[in-house]
This record gives sequence, structure tokens and C-alpha cells, in this order.
Amino acid sequence: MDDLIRNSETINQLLARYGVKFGIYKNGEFKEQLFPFDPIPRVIENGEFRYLEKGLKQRVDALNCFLSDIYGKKQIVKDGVIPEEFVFSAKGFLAPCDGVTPPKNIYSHISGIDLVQSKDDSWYVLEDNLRVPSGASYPMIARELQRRSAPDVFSDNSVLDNRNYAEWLKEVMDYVNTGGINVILSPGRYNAAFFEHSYFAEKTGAVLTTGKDIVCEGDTLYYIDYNGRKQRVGAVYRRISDEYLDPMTFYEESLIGIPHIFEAYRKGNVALLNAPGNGAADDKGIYYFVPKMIRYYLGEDAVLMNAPTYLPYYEKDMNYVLSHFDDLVIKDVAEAGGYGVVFGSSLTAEKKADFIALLKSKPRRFIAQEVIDFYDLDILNESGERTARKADLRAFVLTGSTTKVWPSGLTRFSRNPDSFIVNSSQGGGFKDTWVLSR
Amino acid sequence: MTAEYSEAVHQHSFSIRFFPQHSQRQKITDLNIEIDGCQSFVVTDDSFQNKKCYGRIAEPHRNFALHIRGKAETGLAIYEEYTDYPFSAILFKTQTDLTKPGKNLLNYHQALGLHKWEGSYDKALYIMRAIPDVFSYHPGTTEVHETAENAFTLGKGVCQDYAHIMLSLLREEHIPARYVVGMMLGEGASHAWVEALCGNYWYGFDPTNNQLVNDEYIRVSCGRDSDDCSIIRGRFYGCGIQQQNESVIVEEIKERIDSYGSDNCVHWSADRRNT
Amino acid sequence: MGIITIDKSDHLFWLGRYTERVHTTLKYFLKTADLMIDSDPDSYAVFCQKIGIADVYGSSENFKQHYPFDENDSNSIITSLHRAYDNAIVMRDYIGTETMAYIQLATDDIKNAEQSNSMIAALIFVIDHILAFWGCVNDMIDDEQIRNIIKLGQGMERLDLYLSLDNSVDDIKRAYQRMKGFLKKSGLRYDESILYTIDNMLSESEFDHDNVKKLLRNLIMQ
Repeated sequence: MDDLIRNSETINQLLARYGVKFGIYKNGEFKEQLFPFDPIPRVIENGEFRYLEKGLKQRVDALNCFLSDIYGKKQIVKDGVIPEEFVFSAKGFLAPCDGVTPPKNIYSHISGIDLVQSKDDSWYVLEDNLRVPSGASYPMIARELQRRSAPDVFSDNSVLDNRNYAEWLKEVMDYVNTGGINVILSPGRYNAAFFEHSYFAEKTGAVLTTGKDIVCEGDTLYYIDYNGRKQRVGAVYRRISDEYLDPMTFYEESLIGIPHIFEAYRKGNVALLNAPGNGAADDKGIYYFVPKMIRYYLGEDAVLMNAPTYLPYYEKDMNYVLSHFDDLVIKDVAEAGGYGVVFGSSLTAEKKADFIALLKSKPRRFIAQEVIDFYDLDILNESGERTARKADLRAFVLTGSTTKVWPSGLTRFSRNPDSFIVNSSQGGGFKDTWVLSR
Repeated sequence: MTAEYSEAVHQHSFSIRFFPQHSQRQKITDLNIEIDGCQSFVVTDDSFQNKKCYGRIAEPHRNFALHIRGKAETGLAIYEEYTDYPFSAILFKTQTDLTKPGKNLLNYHQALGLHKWEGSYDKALYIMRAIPDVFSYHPGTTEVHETAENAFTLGKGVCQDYAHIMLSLLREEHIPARYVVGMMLGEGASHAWVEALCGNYWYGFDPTNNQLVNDEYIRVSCGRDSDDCSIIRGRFYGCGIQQQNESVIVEEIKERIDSYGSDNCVHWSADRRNT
Repeated sequence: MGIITIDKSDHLFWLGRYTERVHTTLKYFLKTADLMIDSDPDSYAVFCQKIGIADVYGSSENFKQHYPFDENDSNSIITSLHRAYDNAIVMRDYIGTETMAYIQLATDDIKNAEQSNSMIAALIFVIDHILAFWGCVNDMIDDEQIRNIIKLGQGMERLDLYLSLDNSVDDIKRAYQRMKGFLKKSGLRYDESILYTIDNMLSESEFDHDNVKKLLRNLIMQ
């Protein structure tokens, strides 16, 4: 382990060399920033991983059932398990997807489930990301470099290899492909995750495109070369959000989408990874219902716990939230990326009164959660000493012919000692995540 | 509809939703779509079972013209549609961004005292009758994507706003309700109204004209709000400045040709466009 | 890969051009810097004139400090390198992470050189990494067409610079033949009649360099 720490400088230099960066806009200007890498890995014992794996598979399977249901028969709403306004009024619910079955009936092919571990070692799911979860490329390439810089560490510890992620991704694309090439659709190099888009394209052999060279003719999608030759597209791993996917169906002003791609998808002529409309299953309001979904669709109890959550929508929960306001963290259902998160205890009396008024007028817009006492992870600070920081784990769950959990994940940490926010866009860093083979 | 561009445009994608279909109240025949300069286009359904046609003209062109013609026999029933599975209307029960009521609409909803009425139909009828007291027809006041709350606060607007306000109130009553686009005899533009699910029947209510939908109406499409029913969308490359014209012509054919003893057969042709 | 779109062939072509521009202008810069030591302190002005950029530098000292390093100077070497990077970064899936890394390294080199005590000497490392980049293009890119488009860009830029910098007729002819070879293998559409004209012009002992440059600009058809 000391080898890793000693070589941390080298690894960060190598990451820079390979262009492991994310883009960020500051004062209206595009800048590429390195994603700071911490050499001390998060280590997950094999037994513990098997437990997480079981819970994550179950969760993602249930979420896929849920999506298939709400865009199909809507049985879970009919049976009164989830109130209709939590499903059909959600921003992520897209009416054009109603009645459309994606290839192989898979909605969430690549799911990023955010977990945290509390001081008593229990794991909690904080958030499901079923739209375009990003981040798997970082541990992949960091592992590659660490193995070079400290080979002994890896021969002494039995760490499951995580560099197979691209193969898994390709398997999933191939499985749902309706005939044709695989492409990765990126908004372009000024997107925060462009490194990842281009890296996956390189590693999976899929074609990287910004959509300009793709057209829908009739109800089929084609990739067009400089001589005007056409090649059919069978699967699109799209890294642009639903609203921008197709200006003819979704956000009309979108300049990056592909006109009529949705029509090709609707006819079953192309697979979209992930399916449009998944936002209906990963918003913070629906999160509350996931354990109920698992029971409803799979007849099982949820293996993984949610952070204890209250829905102000229910009167009982509203009362609890108001009487325990200072102990809770309140989240805006519509926000992501660490935005719209308010710790009750951090507000001044005046702001608190304003917030409570807002909460009362728009109960559906918020959820409240108990603050979890995070189990902190050590990082190396600037002077090379170990110091504890908040960290989470994004587990990647891939669904193709079966649902599999990648034996690694993206561990993000907050560099600010007082912060719970680990997002890269807000200055967080990342670590490798080791899953031991025994 | 015709559009002319001052300079040639290319890679022109378009999507059009303006095709009346059969319902229990109307029968459509001789439907004919012509798009100049585009031999191949696809006709498909959207998730609300509206007919839609889309296509792409890759080559540079300076004109785009679309002609839709057909015959509609209307007034075949007093309701629009019968359903034996009312749960399927669940999507129309929840508010959308455009219909979601704010403070003013919520107050108005309270003040209406709809609990006085028992059935959905009576409530809907009461709402339709009430709206003209607080809202007046005045084009140019509201925006294309105006919310019901804003329009209501302004107190005036167009048929789209009337419909959104009525939808908002119906949904507050948990009555499934949908936005409808169509045409009316004698009007030069498209029209919008509301359908509410009352028991197993969808009935049409036109709050703008304060009347039930009758044989002067030709129904084209429906959705949760106006955004679901956009009539035409398009995208092209090129710097051409666009000049467009559209017209909706609904003409009555006088002779009675049906055996239902019902009223009119209407010949219409709709030429529409914007990009 | 089998399929290259117009945009992508464009990026590959300009990647070749900008890396070559960095390489050749840097070599000439080093030569000029040497001349400026004791034989002709104002030779930078001649350099600017030949290469067709405005002499905004005013003094040889200024020139030495800005021409390689100034990111705000659209003619500087670092700007060319950034443009090479811009074209490379969107082509990772075609040229590979390993190959791309050398553009990043060259960028690091030029920044390090600016901070270094011996700025000019440290610029040699930039050339090293550009050469390593080309080595990688040859060695690690399997698709012949991708290689040929990059090399076409490279060859075109070299020819253009040789014509500007008054290299010997032999140098120019060699660069022209090389470029022609890649052009034919690139699969891009080009104007055969222009090649014919240039062939004829080059067969003369004297020819107008600017005219050849103009013809070259219209050689490749979009």
C-alpha cells in the first residue's frame, strides 16, 4: 500500500498525460480540469461485495420492471402502491414513451447506484442514476496505471480486475443491438464527461459521434461517411439527456439531437441506452418507493436500505419533518449533482422560515432524509498526510442478457473537510475501488 | 401550408400532426396528404394515438408545401369516444407544467364550489359555463407556451388558454381530461378544446365558445396539454429567411349522404406550417 | 473502423497539418534564434515575412518570448499545438489514447520550456514528442486510411511551409511527391486537374511558389 502512496504523484501525472479530465465552465469559459485522484483505494471485502451485488441486482431489476410497468400497463399505480402524481407528474416521465417497448424490454442498461457507508458499517442507497450515469472510465484507467506503478501491491492483494468494464459495455450494446453498428452519441468535446465518451468509444470499438453524421431515413437510423455511404445503426449509447435527444419529439430548440431518432426507436429499429423516459424511476420522489417496488415486483424484501426518507406529501411525514427539521437534509426532487440539497441545521432562522413556507406550499417537490453519519475514508492531503473525508460509492450495474454488478465502482470524496458533497463538478476527487477476490 | 425560404435550405426534417381520425363522433374519408418535394414520408402514431407524419428532405430546396385534404362526417354521436377501461386515462388525470394551478387558480377552484355537483359531466359543464365570466377572448395577450395559471391571472387569451384553464380545474377534481386540437366550421385557423372522461365516455367541451362539441367540430389530435399536440415541427440547415402561409378551410357539403340521420358532412382542407 | 465521416476526415487532416506546423516552424524558430545571436538580430522579421504572419513582436527578445509561448497570439507555436490537441481529442476512438498522449506531452513540454532557465534548449523536447506522436501514428493505428489522412495533412502542411520558407526545389519536389502519395491513398476526393497543373509547373526550373500554394488550397474537394 505504501508503494501506491509513494507513486501517487506519478499516477496523477500519468492521468494528465492520458487526458483524464473533465470539462467545466467557469465564468463562462470552458476549462479542462484534472479529476484529482487519491491513491488510497476503497477496499471492499469479497463477502461484503457479494452482499452489495445481491442488493444492487435486485434493485436494478425492480427498477427495470417499474419502468416497463409505468410505460405499459401501470399496474403498480392501479394497485395503489405508488400515487399517480409521483409517477405521471414527474419531470422524468415522458409521455411520448408511453406504450413503447425498448429492444429486449430493457430500460436501464447502465445504472449508477450511489451508496454510502455509515459509521456502523451499514450501506445505504442514496440515489439511483438511470439516465446517463458517468464515471466508470476513471477507476478503469486509474487501475491500469496503478498496476504499472505498483505491481507488487496487486500481486500481494487479490484485487478483482476492473478493466473489463468496456467489454461488459460492449456485450450490453451487442445484446440489445437491432442490427447495425454501435455508436456512442456525445454532446461533444465541451461536455464535462467527454473524456469518458471518447475513451469508451476507443475501448468498445463503437463509433463516437455528435449526431451530425447520423440521419434517420424512414424509420431506420444510418451513419453516413464522407462519400455518402450509409451504414445502419443498431444501438446508440447516448450520453446526451432525454430532452436533447430528438428535437422533433422532445426539446424543440435542441441543436445536438438527431431528428426522428425517437421514431426509429419507437418502431424497434434501434436500441437506445439508456432508454428515454428513465427519469421517471430515478427522481428523488420515486426513490422513497423503491423498497416497495422490490416487494411488489419481485416478492422479496429489499436487501439494501434506503437512507430513512420522509415524503412531506404525506401528512404524517410532513409533521415529522417539521418537528425534526434541524436533524434532516432536505432535497429538491428535481435537482441533481449535489445541487438543491439543504441541511436543516445550516439555515438561519429567517431562511428556515422561508424554506418551511416553500416546503408547505410545494410538498411534492421535496424529500427529507435523516443525515447519515458517514464512515469517512482516508485521503492524502496536500502535505502527504492521511486525513479523513466524506466519500460515496457509485456502483455500476449493467443489464444485458443478465444483470451484473461491476466489481469496482467510482469512489468520490469531498476535498473540503466540512462538505458532504462529493461531485466532481463541485471540486471532489476520486479513488479506485477494490473488490477483493477472497 | 406553404413556406418559402430566401435561400435554399437542406437537411430539412419535419414532423406534422394534423390528421383527423375516426372516432365515435366523426368519420374520416378521402384523407390525402401531399408534400411537395418529398416522395417518401412515414405515417405513424404517437403515444396518444394521434396520426403523425414525418420525413426529411436532404436536397437543397427553397419551397416547402404541404396539403392535407379529406372529408369528415360529424355528429355521429354526442360523445367522442367510449372506453371500457377508464383506468387507461390515468395519464390525463395528473397536471402538467402547463396546467398546474398556482395560487390564483387554486383560489378560483375553491370558490367554484364544485362539490355541489356530483357527476363528472355536471362538474365539467359547470366549469365550462363559469370560465367566460372570468376570462375573455383576446389574441396576442398570451405566449405560445403560456401556463394556465398565468393566462388565468391575465384574464384573457386564446382558445389554448381557455382549454388549459379548464383542464387544470378538471384535474383538480381528479377528472381525467385531455387537450384537443381540431377545426371548426367557418374558421380560418385551428381550434382547441377539452375532453373530459365522464364514466366510460369522453365528452367534448369548448370553453372558448361556451358550448358542447357538436357537428361543427372536426377533431384532429389530443394530448395532456398543447405541448403534446404541436401541429408541426421542423429543423433545417441554411440561412434562408422563412416566409410562410397557412390556412385551414372547412366547407360544409350540403347534401345529406349518411344514413344515421345525422347532420353534416364537412369537407375540409388544412394547409399548415411553421418551422 | 471502415467508415469515416466528413467531419472526422477533417479532424484527422488538420491534426496532421497542425502537428507538422508545430514541428517545422519550431525547427525554423530554432534556426532563426541561432542567427539572432550574432549574425543577424533582426532575422525574426524575415522569418515572419516568409511564413506570412504579421510582425507584431517589435524586437528579437519579444519574438523569442512570444512566438513559441504566447497563447493569445494566434500565430504562435503553442496555439498550433492547441489546435492539434483540439483535433486530436475528438478523435480518441480513431487514433487511440496512447497516441494522443504525445500531443498532451508536447503541450506540457512547451509550458515547461517557458518556465525553464534555458527556454530555447528546452523546446527540443517538444520536437521529440511530436516525432513520438508520428511514430505512434505509424505504429499503433491499424487503419491505413486513417493513417493516410493524417499523413496527407502533414504532407500538405510541410509542402506549404517549404514553399513559403524557400526551401530548395529538391526539398519541395520531394515534399510534393510524398503528399501526392498520401492523397491517392487517403480516399478523399480531389481535383485531378490541379495535380496535373502542379506537375507541369514543378517540371520547370523556376516556378511561382505562391501560385502553387493557391492551387493546393483547392486540391481537396469537400
